[in-house]
Order: sequence, then structure tokens, then C-alpha cells
Amino acid sequence: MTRISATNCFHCELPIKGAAPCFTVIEQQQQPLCCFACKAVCEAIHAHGLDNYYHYRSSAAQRPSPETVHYQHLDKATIQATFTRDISAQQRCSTLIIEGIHCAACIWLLENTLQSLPGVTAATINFNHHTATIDWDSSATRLSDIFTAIHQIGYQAHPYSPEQQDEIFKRESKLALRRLGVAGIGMMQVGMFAIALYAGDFQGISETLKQLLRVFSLLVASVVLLYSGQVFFTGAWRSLKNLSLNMDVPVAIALGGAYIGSVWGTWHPASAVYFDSIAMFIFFLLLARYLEMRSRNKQLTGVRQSLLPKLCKRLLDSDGQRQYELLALDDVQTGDRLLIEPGEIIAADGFVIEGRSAVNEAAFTGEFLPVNKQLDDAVMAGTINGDGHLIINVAATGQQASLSIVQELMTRAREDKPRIARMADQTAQYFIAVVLLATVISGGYWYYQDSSMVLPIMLAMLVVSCPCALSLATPAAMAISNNTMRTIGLLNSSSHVLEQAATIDQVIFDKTGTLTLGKLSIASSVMLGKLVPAECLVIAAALEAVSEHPIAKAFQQQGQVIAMASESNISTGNGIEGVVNNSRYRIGSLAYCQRWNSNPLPTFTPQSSNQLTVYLCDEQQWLACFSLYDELRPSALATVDALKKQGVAVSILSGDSSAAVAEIANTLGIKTFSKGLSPEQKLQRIEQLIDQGKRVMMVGDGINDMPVLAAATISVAMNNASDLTRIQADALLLADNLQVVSTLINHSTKTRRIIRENIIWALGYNAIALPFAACGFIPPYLAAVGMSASSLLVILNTLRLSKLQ
Amino acid sequence: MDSLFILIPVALVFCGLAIWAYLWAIDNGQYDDLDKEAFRILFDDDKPATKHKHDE
Repeated sequence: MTRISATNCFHCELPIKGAAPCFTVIEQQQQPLCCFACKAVCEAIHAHGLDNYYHYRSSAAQRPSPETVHYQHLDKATIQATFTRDISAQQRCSTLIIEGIHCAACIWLLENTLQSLPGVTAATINFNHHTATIDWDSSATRLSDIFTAIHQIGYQAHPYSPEQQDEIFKRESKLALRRLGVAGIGMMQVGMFAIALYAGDFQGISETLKQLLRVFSLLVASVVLLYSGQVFFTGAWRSLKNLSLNMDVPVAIALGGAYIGSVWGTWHPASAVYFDSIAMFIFFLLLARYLEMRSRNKQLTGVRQSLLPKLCKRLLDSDGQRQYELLALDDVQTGDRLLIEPGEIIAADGFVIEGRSAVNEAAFTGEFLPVNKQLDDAVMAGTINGDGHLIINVAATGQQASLSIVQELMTRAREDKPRIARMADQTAQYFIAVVLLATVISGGYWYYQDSSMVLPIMLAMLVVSCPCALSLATPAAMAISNNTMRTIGLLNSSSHVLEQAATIDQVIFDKTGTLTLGKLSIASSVMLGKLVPAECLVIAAALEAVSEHPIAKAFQQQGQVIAMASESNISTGNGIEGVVNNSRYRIGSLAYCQRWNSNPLPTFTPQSSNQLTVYLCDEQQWLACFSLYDELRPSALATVDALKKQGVAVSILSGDSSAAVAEIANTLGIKTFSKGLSPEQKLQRIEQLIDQGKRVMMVGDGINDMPVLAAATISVAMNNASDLTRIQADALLLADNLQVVSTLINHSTKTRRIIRENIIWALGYNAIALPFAACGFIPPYLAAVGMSASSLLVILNTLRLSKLQ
Repeated sequence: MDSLFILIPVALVFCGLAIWAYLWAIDNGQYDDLDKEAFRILFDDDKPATKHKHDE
């Protein structure tokens, strides 16, 4: 249940300042709404009879975008072919990826809405992957209607054609789940037999019954070992073929040894069987691996495969009439003329041949404000068009485009990255070498003493020294720690994050979108005329309501929801003119206002020279001057302080060349910072540090950060990062709170301590047990109990990591 | 105790059935989304009131 106060929007729960602009009746009550987009979505939900969504949801909906979207092009069969397959003559099955899913109630809302549409026979949404599978009847509905229905309830649907990688992930994950489940059921069954056998050892049991239980344990354990456990054997074989020892080698030796020993023991009543330990060990190891795989796949959730649009609009000249055709990005060639509409992602590198617009290049340069583009200016693939229409002449596509160059840089950086040896793996390698040596030596000794004892003694040694506990030590700790970090909003896709974070010497932040929120806010306003600040803000918000420019968003954020200005006219790169309450106003740059208002600007002292200023005036007088700035993340200062206390150096590498970098470094108390760096220069800086033996953590969000993220010891991407960056980073910060970075370092220290404890315990147990086994002193049941107990103890100790402090 | 000679093999049969059912469920796509089903049971109690849900 969500509680909504009188001044919050019923749909998106954002606060409404002043009187609500619109209402709708839900559950016999007038509900306030912050904007007409929210009202439309809310009423669409109501019309489907799905009001319960508002009870079910656990977090507020995203504020829907007011623009209308046209999906007609999706009705073309050639375009549908990429994500739709035919079930029968009329029946189609389409896969979409849906943006805006934030809680389980969204799934309920979407499924019920889709299923209530005429012509839709089945619809399922996958919460894991944010994909929708829809069966529909092409004679009863059109695909564009389905897309529109999704848009009406406040979500964005995109065609989804799974790439090979996704298919592989899916298959892997299914196979892992099968193996895990079989190991789990087998473990329970063998465990039950084992309890009977242990009880029998103490209370007495008939030999035939004991034999029967052992044979059946053998049967079940064989299934578990051959089906679920085969991954360890294939992994070990692959590693040995490459002349290296990975963790699978000791696991395979232990499993193999314990299994052969137990099979032999099944027909030698005096010796022990370890089938229960084998099944349990396989289950726990597979569980740890499965959890790790799941958190890695989670990072890919909701990621659209490509940053670039799949379709572009190519201009055709027919009889002087301007028309465009849709064509796939792959078919675009150099020299083609593409139409780029407002808000679209530019699909190829090229030059503007017509139109003016402000293009957001933040992803490449870190530069926060859009860059004005007009005739002959170059635009890059992957940047986002602002308010104006552009026609570009394509100069480079595919491999030659600037986006591919950054990606290539990143691949190179990652290949150069030194491999980090894993602590536990190394320990296990030495350990396994020592055990094998000891086993061979004592085997040789017993061969001369009593040759009938050679096999039982060697098996006992292999079994007792089974590095179960040792091999569980790291993966179990990683699985639990990763899960704990997830609860506070950090998703680790690589297991080395938690193992290495404690050793980090230096944390490097990107500025825009990482240390700052990446959007403008009003820092201060100076009144130049007779109006009070509140009145000026209302006028400014009304004027800016027509624009998608970051400056306009700053005024819209103020929440003053009023009617839009009428007769508004956007002058790209300058400002906006419009009529509010029957008076005409201009808002924008000083020059733009001065061109219209010839009165001299009153003298005043601006708050800060580095901030962006916007003027508001009418024809006769100056009204206000607003200073805008990119606000710091609320958690930035506390994070930098916490990191410094942990003895970690902090610095900023920014692509932004403005003085704002120095100002922010100053505010946060960061002494080392560099500004105006290209992706190559950023990469050089990091590589220098790493060459000096420093361990570097990079926190960033832009495409220009991709190469540095790949080169850094640990990379963390912000949640608002571009999809490509998100996929490449070692960890993804889901929470808006930067302090998670410093928590990560603390938790990593703790994880390392627990792993070390686990290893010491496992080695200690083995150091004591091995000599006794070599002498033949260990009774069979004690060996089995000791083996299981040492693994359980490791698991219990590891569970301490599920708490943060 | 003779009954055990029947009961233990029977247990094994049940174990086999459990594994078969589990693998069937995976192939049937029932484990495709481990996050959704936990919530689903909370939602489906009250059916949408106004419009009839399309049944397949």
C-alpha cells in the first residue's frame, strides 16, 4: 500500500507545489495529479479496471513523458520480422522489451492490460529481463495498437530481438538450475539414508539393511555426481589441458577421490562411505555459482542491445516533394541523407546540411550542456538530438563511427589489464600439491609396511583432506557478500570486486552525472524588476514548459505546474519567447533578451562567475536573472570524507572543460583533478597510475568513461549510465547513494577477513586430520562427520557476511 | 524391519518422480522468472472489476 498525501501526485507521487492542475476520480475520490501526462496514464489504468495497481505497487511510477509516440511503422511486415514469429496463419508472437518496470505491480498491470486488449490471446512479462511475450491475432488487432496501449499506461515498449549472447545466457541459466535442483533433491535423499546409517552405527543395524542403504546411496550419489557434478570435471580437464590449476582441479580430485573411496567402501563393510558429503558439497558449490551467475545476468536487465536506433529515416526526393522512408541502420550508406527528429538518437556520424538544433553530446564529452549544431557542423552517432529537426549527410557508419572507436579503445584497455590472481585459488593450488605429495609418500611407505593397506590409506587421505571447506571458502563468501551489497544497491557482475575493493589506493570519479546529478537546478535568482521571485518562476516555468532542453528542465523541476505559454517560439541556442497571462516575455541568454529589450541591464552582482545565467524580461523591463548549476549529489561530500578516512586517495577526471570542475573539487576537498580530457587522455592517466602499481577504482557513467572503466582495477557504473557502460562495468550502482562505494571498501575488508578465517579453518582441520589419516587412525564415521562438519562450519561463518556491520 | 526393504526402493522411486517433475517444470518455463511469482500470489486475489479478463 502506498500512502499519498494531499500534495503529492496520485500517479507518480512527486510533490505538487500549489494547487493540483488536474484531478481524476479513482475509488470514489478526487485524486490530485501533477500533470496531464499522469492524468492520461491514470485514467487509462482506470479504464482497464486495474485501479488495484495503486494498492499493489511498492514504489511510485515514473512520471510519464507527455509526448505522443507513433508506432505505425511497426505494422510493416518487414519491420515486424525482426521480433515477431508466425504461430499460424493469423497468430503472431512478438517479443518486446519494456522500459519503466520498477516493481512487481507493474507486471500485474501490464499483463492484465495486455490480456484485456481485443486480439491478444496471451501476454507474459518477465520481471527478470523486462521482456514481454505477446501472442496476438493479426486479423483482430494491429501491433501498433498494442504498443500504444503499453504507452498509454505509462511504459515504453521497444522491439526486442534477442542476440546470440542472450540465448546463450538463457540456456546456461536453465542448465545451471537443472543441475542445482537435481543436486538438491539428491542431497536430501542421500542425507536421509545417511541419517539411517549414522543411527545404525550407534544403535546397531543389520548388515543386509546397511548394505541396502549403502547401495541406494551409491545410486543417488552417482546420479548427482554424473549429472550435476560433471561441470567440475570438465572445468578441471579444461584447466589441466591449459597447464594451469584452477579451483575445479582440487574439487574434481576431492569428488573423484571421495566417490571412488565410497564405491570401494560400499563392498567393504569396515570402511566408510561419504555419499552424503559428496551430494552436499556439489549442491553448495553449485548454489554459490548459480547465485553469482544470477547477479551477473541481472546487470543486463532492461539493457537495449544497441545504443543506436535500429531504424532511421532516409530522405527521398520525389518530384520536389519531401518524403522519407524507414530503413534498417545496417542499410544506411555514406552519403545518405537522414532526417533526425527532436529527441531522437543520431544513428550515424555526419554533417548537418539543414536545420538547427542543440545536440546532447554528454555521453562522449562529459560536457553537460547541449552543443548547438547548424549547417556544416559534425554530429556523432549515439548523441541525442534536442529541440530542432536536423537533416544530416552521413559521413561514417558502422566500424568507422566514433562510437565504435570508443568501443574499440575499451576492448584494448581491457585486454591490457593485468590478471588478478585469486587469493583462495592460489592457496588451494599449493594445498592440493602438498596433499598429493603426502598421499604418494605415505602410499609408498605403506607399500613396504603392509601392501593391503595402501588403497584404504591413500583414499582416506584424499577423502579426509577433501578441500570441500577450502573450495567453499571463497565462492560462498562471495555469493553472500554480493547479495548483501545488492540489498544496499550495488550489483557486482564480477566476483573480483569484493575481493579487491579492500586493496584500492585511489578512487577516481567522473564529474557530470557521477559526482553531480547531471541535471541543472536553479542555484539563485536575482530580481531585476518589480516582480517577486515566485511570480518570475511561474512565468519562467510556463515559458520553458515547451522545451526539452536541460535548462528548461531546471525550471520545470520547480514543480510550478501552470498552463504552458502560448504562441511560444524556441530560438535554438538562445532562448524562448511566449505569452503568459496576456503579456509577452522572453527567457534566455543576455544577447537574446537584449535584441528585444533595449533598456540597459540594471547592475547587480552575480553569485558566481562559473554558473550559467538565464535572463527573463518583457519588452520594457528586465525581470530576473537566474543562476543555474549542475547540483552535487547529496551523498558526494560524505562519500569523499568517508573515503579519505579509509585512507583512499580521491581524484576527479572529467571530460568537461569548464571551471565547474575546479569548483566542485574545491567544495568536496579533492586536491587532484583534471578537466577537459578526451577518452584517450583519461585512459592514459589511469594506465600511468596502474603502471606505478596503484590499484584504482573508477566510478563513471558516460560512454567517454568506458575505456577507463575497462582499464581500472575495479569499475563502478552509475545507474543512469549509458547501456554500453553498464554492461562493461564490474559493478553497477543501483542506489542513488554514492556512499555505497565506501561501504563496498569496508565490506570488502570484512569479506577478505571471513575468507581468510575460512581458509585457516579448512587448512587447520586438514593439517590435523591428514597425519592421522596417513597413520590409519581415523575411524570411517569420524572422517565423514569431520568432512561435513568442516564444510558446514565454513558456511555458517560465511553467513556472518549477510549483515553489513 | 522387513518393510524397509520395500520402503527404501519406494523412496527412490519418489525421488526419481521429484526430479522428473522438476525438470519438466523447468522445460515448461516455470522457472524462467524467479522474481515475479513470489509477488503474483499477492495480486491475483481480486480480479479487475470492470472489464472481463480475456481467457485463452
